[in-house]
Amino acid sequence: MNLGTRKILDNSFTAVGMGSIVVMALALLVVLTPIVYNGVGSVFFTGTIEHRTMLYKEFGRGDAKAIETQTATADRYRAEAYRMLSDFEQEMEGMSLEASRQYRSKYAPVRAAMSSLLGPLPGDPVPMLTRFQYGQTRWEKAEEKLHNILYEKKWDYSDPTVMAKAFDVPRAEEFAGTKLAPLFSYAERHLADMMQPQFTVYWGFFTDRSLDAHIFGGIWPEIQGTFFLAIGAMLFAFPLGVIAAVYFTEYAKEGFFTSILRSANSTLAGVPSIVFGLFGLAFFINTMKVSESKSVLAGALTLAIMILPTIIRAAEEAILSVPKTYKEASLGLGSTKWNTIVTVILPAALPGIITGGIISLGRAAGETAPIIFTAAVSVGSAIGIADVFSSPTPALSWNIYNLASEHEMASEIRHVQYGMVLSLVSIVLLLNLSAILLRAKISQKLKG
Amino acid sequence: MYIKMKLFRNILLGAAVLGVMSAGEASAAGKIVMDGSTTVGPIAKSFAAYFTKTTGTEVTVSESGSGNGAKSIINGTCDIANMSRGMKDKEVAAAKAKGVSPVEHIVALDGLAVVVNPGNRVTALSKSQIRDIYSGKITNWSKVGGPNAQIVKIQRESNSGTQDTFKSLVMGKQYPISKRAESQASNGAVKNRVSTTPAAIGFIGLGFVDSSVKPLLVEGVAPSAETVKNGTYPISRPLFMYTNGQPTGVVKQFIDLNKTSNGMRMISELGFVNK
Amino acid sequence: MTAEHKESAVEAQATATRDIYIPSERASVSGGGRPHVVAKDFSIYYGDFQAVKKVNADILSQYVTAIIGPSGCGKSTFLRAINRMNDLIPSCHTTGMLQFDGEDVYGKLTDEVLLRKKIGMVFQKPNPFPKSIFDNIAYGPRLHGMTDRKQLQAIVEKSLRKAALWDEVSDRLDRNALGLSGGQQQRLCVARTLAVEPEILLLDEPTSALDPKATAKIEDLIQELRGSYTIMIVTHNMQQASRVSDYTMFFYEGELVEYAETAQLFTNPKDRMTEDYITGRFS
Ligand SMILES: Nc1ncnc2c1ncn2[C@@H]1O[C@H](COP(=O)(O)OP(=O)(O)O)[C@@H](O)[C@H]1O
Ligand SMILES: [Mg+2]
Repeated sequence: MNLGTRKILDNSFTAVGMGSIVVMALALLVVLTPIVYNGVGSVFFTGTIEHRTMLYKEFGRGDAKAIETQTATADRYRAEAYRMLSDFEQEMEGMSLEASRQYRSKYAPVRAAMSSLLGPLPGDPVPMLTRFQYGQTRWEKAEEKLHNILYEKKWDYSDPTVMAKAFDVPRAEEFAGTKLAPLFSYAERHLADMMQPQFTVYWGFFTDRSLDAHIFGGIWPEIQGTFFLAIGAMLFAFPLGVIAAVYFTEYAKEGFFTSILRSANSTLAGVPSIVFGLFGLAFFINTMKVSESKSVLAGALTLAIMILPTIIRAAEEAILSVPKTYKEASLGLGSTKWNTIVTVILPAALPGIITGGIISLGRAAGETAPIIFTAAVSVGSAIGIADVFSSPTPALSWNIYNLASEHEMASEIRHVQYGMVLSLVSIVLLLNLSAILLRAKISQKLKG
Repeated sequence: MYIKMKLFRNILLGAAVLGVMSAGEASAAGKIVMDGSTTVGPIAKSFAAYFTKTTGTEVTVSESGSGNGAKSIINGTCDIANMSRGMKDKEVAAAKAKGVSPVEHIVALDGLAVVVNPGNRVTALSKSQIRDIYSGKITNWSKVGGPNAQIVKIQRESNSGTQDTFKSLVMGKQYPISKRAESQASNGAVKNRVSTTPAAIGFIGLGFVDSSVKPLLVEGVAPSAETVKNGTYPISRPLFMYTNGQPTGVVKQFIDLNKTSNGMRMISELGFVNK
Repeated sequence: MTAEHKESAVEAQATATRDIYIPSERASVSGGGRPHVVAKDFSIYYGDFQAVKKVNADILSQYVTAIIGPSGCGKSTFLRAINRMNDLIPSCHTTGMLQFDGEDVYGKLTDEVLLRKKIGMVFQKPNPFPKSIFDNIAYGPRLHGMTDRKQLQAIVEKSLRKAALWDEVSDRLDRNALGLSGGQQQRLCVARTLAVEPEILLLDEPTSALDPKATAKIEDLIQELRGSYTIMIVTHNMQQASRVSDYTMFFYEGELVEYAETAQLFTNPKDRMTEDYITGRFS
């Protein structure tokens, strides 16, 4: 190969390499940006007076004086809107039967939208469910509801051969000439007056319990459950995995049995996590009866089984990468094999073992399938450490899935879901970062 | 070795701190473990929050599907199984074999709304039309008065009680659901799919219907609390909670919530129907 | 290798045991000179491959015995057999007899851990543990139950002094040993071995990874230690062998070809092959 072609090849390889790194970085950016942006929105957002009232009533936090004055202001503006509603309701009484029926069916969604924006309307009974006891707590949601008040979404079914397109009809037109007509421009003009938006930092998102199935409140039970499960899994899997790795590398005689064990381990590493979930249910809960119901213990054990192969593999590799000369030196000084393993080989392999361990910890924190049937619940309070043997727990991974797909008001609480995603991603990143730092620190110590 | 010890100590310390932080919230007043249907989920979760608030008893709710709820009660791993269908003979037999005697409690009624995308001009279907659509006989919306578009059929997983209800009330034994129907894991997921897919059709519990989807009239009747209650809406069903034996103590108190006025208000606020 | 040599090698293999000189007991200044290690028809195999062939030799206590021979002739294999370091290689096994102080090294009841405590080894590449200098030296004594800090300090100093390293490292005993130079590391390894007070010191090409200056220091060290320990040193540097050893063994293709007092072996070799090797006529 001549110099020219070699250079071209070198350069094009560099270009391809850089290219793939850029693509990777972009992909990461595309994934992380919305997570971070939306997730941060669960803590930093423009909150309304409803949010502050809710926090005060449900969690006993906030500046009572300020809330009182703001509520008074908001109520003044709301009273005007309420008056328009009741005026119109009276007006309908006096209408012809036909007109009244038509208006009533059009009025119902307006009333519902107003109640969703401001909370229970005057004269309505106090709802049982916390979610209906307050209006919109977030400004952007309030604006969304305002849109529902101002416009009716209609569908253009005129062409029978194609799917209809949606279009908005201003309700002001539909109620033109009635006493409700001024409401729409009033609501638009005075939305901020009625809602008292204010930049809000809600740290309680991380430390509060959830309220009415995550409609309000925070995600502490989920965060705590995630820690319990991941750390619990490590308490089982780490020592077991390291011992197994020591056995594989130092004691097992190469042979049929060992190769079977080895391939079983590799196979286990490739088994889909849902299989571990079903196994955990069948084995730990139904057969072994480690707990009466789902529990942190059962979930941690299941996760432990799942991450065990990874830990074994990482530890094995770390042990194998310890120079043979250390072992020779130790044995040569009259050390026993076991002593050599404990005092020389494991400490030297520690950076690798820990890296494998913490990456597994991250995986244990992030997996959903293994805990569905063994540990996770949709709602439940934070449990005490003594309850881990008997109680199930909410956990970030499962509740993210639950909020994303199963929750009956999923579209109203996307911010909670993203807040959970961000928390989970941060926890996993934090764990990985600490793995890197710890590894660097220990390596430094070993190198001198 | 030294470094490792330190690591372990840190982990233990962390766990201990977490434990102390949460110890205050742990409750001693007994607990109730619920498992099962995603359809009954909202009722169970709301009851749970209310019950914990008023009695101090911890209640946990899992939503893993009616089938798993049945399995849990059979294996004795939950106190209450939420189910959106009755127990099957097979399940009752399995329970008996394990010395479990499931007792059924109807907590509410629910209509199965057949929903389409609001962009679809179709507003009503007969039961037989729905059956023909799901069995694969009718594949285009134009056959039932809609636009010219291939029907996207959404169903639930086999584990779902809603799926079982739909099969028994609409399809009947001799009409299996077409293999081309797409499966979703929950009411919410079906609603999502239908609201984002113009040609889709699906079925969800009444409590999950909102403006993002359009519920169809079935046999000329719109699904609503009244039509479900008076039995005119053809696809409706009871929602169950199962216990092992007649419930006692806090479990009984919990189940009986559906007969209290507060419980009934929660059910109707959630969009379900009181029996 | 010339055709002639090859033939004689084949011939040698065929005749199996060679009639070679075995040094007779000889009192040394310090009272050594008895047979410390004795090989009788001792062979070592890697699987089916015979790497050391029916060696018969007495190694005298408190003398320095060098082992020379071309690369791959079995020097290391033989040396590592003496403290059973070859146990680490699963395919390796031995026949014949090897005795240490009259005890069968490969006997069923022999405790190889105790054996290794008495037979220290220093390897080709310096291999200090990734620990502090102090912990490296103290590793052996601690292993054998010494916990008293004062005692440990004393033994660390003594060993480092014996290994002629004390002056260079006395002010940084808590530093990681991997920070030392290659030559210092090798002397540290010697000190580490000395700290368990062995009877025999096995050195497998201890200077091949070192520069001339460090090599000279190690050679001086061997001179210092001669008379206190039985020392066996594998080297393929013939000058080194003639400088530091009292006796020399010449191995060729697994066979002990000649074993004699160093001066005699280098000035007046009995065997043609030895002569060819020491005069550099084959590599
Ligand atoms: N672990 C082993 N497995 C198989 N053969 C080996 C092993 N170690 C060394 N040998 C072989 O044994 C012979 C002697 O090796 P060795 O004692 O290391 O030679 P030397 O130290 O004299 O250079 C060589 O042919 C070498 O290939
Ligand atoms: Mg060698």
